[in-house]
Formats: sequence, structure tokens, C-alpha cells
Amino acid sequence: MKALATVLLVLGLIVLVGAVVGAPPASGEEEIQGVTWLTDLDAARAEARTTGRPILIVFR
Amino acid sequence: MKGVDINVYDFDFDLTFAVLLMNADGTIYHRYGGRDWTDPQSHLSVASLVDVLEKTLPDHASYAKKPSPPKKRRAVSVDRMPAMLRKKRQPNCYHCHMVHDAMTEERQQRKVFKRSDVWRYPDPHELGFQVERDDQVRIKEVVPTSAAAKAGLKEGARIYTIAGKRVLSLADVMRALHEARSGPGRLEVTFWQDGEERTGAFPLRKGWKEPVPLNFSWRASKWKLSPKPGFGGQQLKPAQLAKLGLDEEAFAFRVGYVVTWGPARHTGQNAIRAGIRKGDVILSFDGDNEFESVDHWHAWFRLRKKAGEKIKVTLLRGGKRKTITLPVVD
Repeated sequence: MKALATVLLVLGLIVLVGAVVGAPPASGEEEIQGVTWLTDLDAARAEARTTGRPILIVFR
Repeated sequence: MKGVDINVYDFDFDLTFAVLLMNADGTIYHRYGGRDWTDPQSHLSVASLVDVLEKTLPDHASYAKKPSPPKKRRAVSVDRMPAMLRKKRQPNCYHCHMVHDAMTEERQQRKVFKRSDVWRYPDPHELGFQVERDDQVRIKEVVPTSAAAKAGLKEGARIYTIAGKRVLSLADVMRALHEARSGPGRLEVTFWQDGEERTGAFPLRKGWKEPVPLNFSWRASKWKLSPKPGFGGQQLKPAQLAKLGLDEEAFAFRVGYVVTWGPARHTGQNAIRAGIRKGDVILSFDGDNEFESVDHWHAWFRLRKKAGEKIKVTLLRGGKRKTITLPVVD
């Protein structure tokens, strides 16, 4: 139960996978099995505000 | 969890895996990742997660037409909670379950703690139903004469809303039950059954949220609760039971530790005074050994026993049965 929160902006499953595979992770991002996740909750919300996408947050 | 505002990112902090699906304004559409006592992954599956993701998208689209952002509340993170700030040594890493621990400790320190404070995120079993793993709004089982049966739910029904809130997952169902009043009262449920939409209500008795110890047994937050037995150990496997001449299906555990350290050391000292020794095989408590696991027994002890009571503990030591009296201490 690590307190790591990972955040993904969701467009839809097909778009989600297509959009994130191959993108190199930048600062505040983490790549897990080819999917780039944001690791900063505030940054994710700011991006979701800009793009109008919903947010998927994982706590584990 | 350090720095995570639990007033915004609000979920069942006893968890295996928790997902929040939310709007940038802080509105949480749905939750995913609930579990029951049987297995940490009892309700985790790709099929159910995909189902929740797909069904959240239209909810997000309709919310955009009429947004209703939650009221802004003071930010609270586990590392800034008073119970954590009072610790001499601050943890380096804050696990999710430490949120519940900090809440409990805080109320214990202020001497306002009540057992009902831990009746969080009730398992649907408390109302007499279970949901499927892959389709988490589909009813897997309804206990006859339970609140679920009285609400009209049957196996195969699909829940649509609870208290007017759309649910998509076990975590959503548990959240809706968490937000419901402790009772007595009624909790409205809408569902699809036999090809039509129906409305029913769970009748809620006073104290309905109090968990059955087995349903509570998986929660990490149980360890902070008192009274504590002051000892524990590993459950014996069938071959070990047979070797001791015991029923292979019986519950028994070997005492692997007695708590003689930390703030709860008085509980271990109490157990030693009563006659508990490391290596003893514990067979029953007041003749009761209907436990599924050692965690189940720990939950039972904490939820059902009260300081001042005395328990007859039957144990096996050196091949001989012995019964001792264990006073329950806070």
C-alpha cells in the first residue's frame, strides 16, 4: 500500500493508449508499462482544466 | 500520502488499490477498488475497471453541461494531522491507511473516541448482499430476510443508484453506504430487475454500520483499536493441526509474539500475567473458535470485547490442554 498517487487524464480507452504510448516521461511524470502517468496532483488538475478531460487517479 | 489533501482526494484509506475518477474542479464522479475480507483483490479486475472508465466518460460529458463544483474546504493532509505532528519522530513515508490511524489516534487522545468512529465504508454484506467482481453493480447474492431482500433485490439485479447517486463499482456502493446515516431509517435504491427499473429501500436498523468482525478483519486500521489481546501469531495449517491431534478444519494459532514493547506493552504484560506463553497453541476463547483467520480473531477481539471482561482461553502447551483466564484491558 504505497502512498504513491499516479494520475492519468482520460480521453477514452483507445485514445488513452494511443496518446500515451511512446511519449518519453518528463519531470513530474512516470512511465509504467508504456503508459505515462503524471505524479503531481496539482499539475494533473491544471492540465485537466485546460483540456477538459476527466482525471483518473490511482492510490496504491 | 504526504501533502495529499484528504478533503479533496477522499476515499477508503484502508485499501489494496484505490481509483478516483474526477473532474478538475474536485468533483469525484466515481471510485473503484473496493474489496472484501476474502482476498485483497476480491473486486479488482480489468473488466470491471474498463467498465467503470467507459461509463464515467458520459457522466463527465453531462457534468460539463451543468457543473456543480464542491465547496472549497480547508486542506488537510495526513502529515499535518495533530496526531502525526505530536509524534516525536515523523514517518518518512505516509501510507494510505495511516489516515484512518491518525483520525483514530486523534480522537483517542482527545478522549472522544467511540467505536462507531471506525464504522467506515460498510461492506454490502452488512445489508445482506454481495456484488460480482467483473460487473460490480450486479447482485451476486442476497441473504434471505436481510435489508437487501426487504428492498426487493434479488440475485442478478443491477443496482443503478443508492440515495440518488449513480453507482458503478463496489467502491461506489461502499461510499454510498458510508455516507448514509447510521440509522434507523431507509436508504433508497434503484435497480434493474426482470427487465424493468424498480425502486426500493434498505430498511436501516440502529447501528447497522457496525461491522461483523469478519467483514472488518482485512482493515489495517483495526490495529489501532482497543482492547488489544497483546499477543498473536500464525494460524496452523491442516497438517500442523493433524500432527497435534486436532481437527484439520479447526481454527488454532501458535503464539508467535507477545507485545512487550511500545505503547501497548501493558497488553502483552497482561497476557503474560494471565499465563500466555510464546509457542502456546491457542484453541478457543470462551469456547468459541469460529474464526476464519487470525485477522478475524483480532477484529473480533477489538470489536466485541470490552475492558473489564474476562475471557477463558483454551490452549495447548506441551501436548496438554489448559484453560486460563485473560482479563481484557484497554
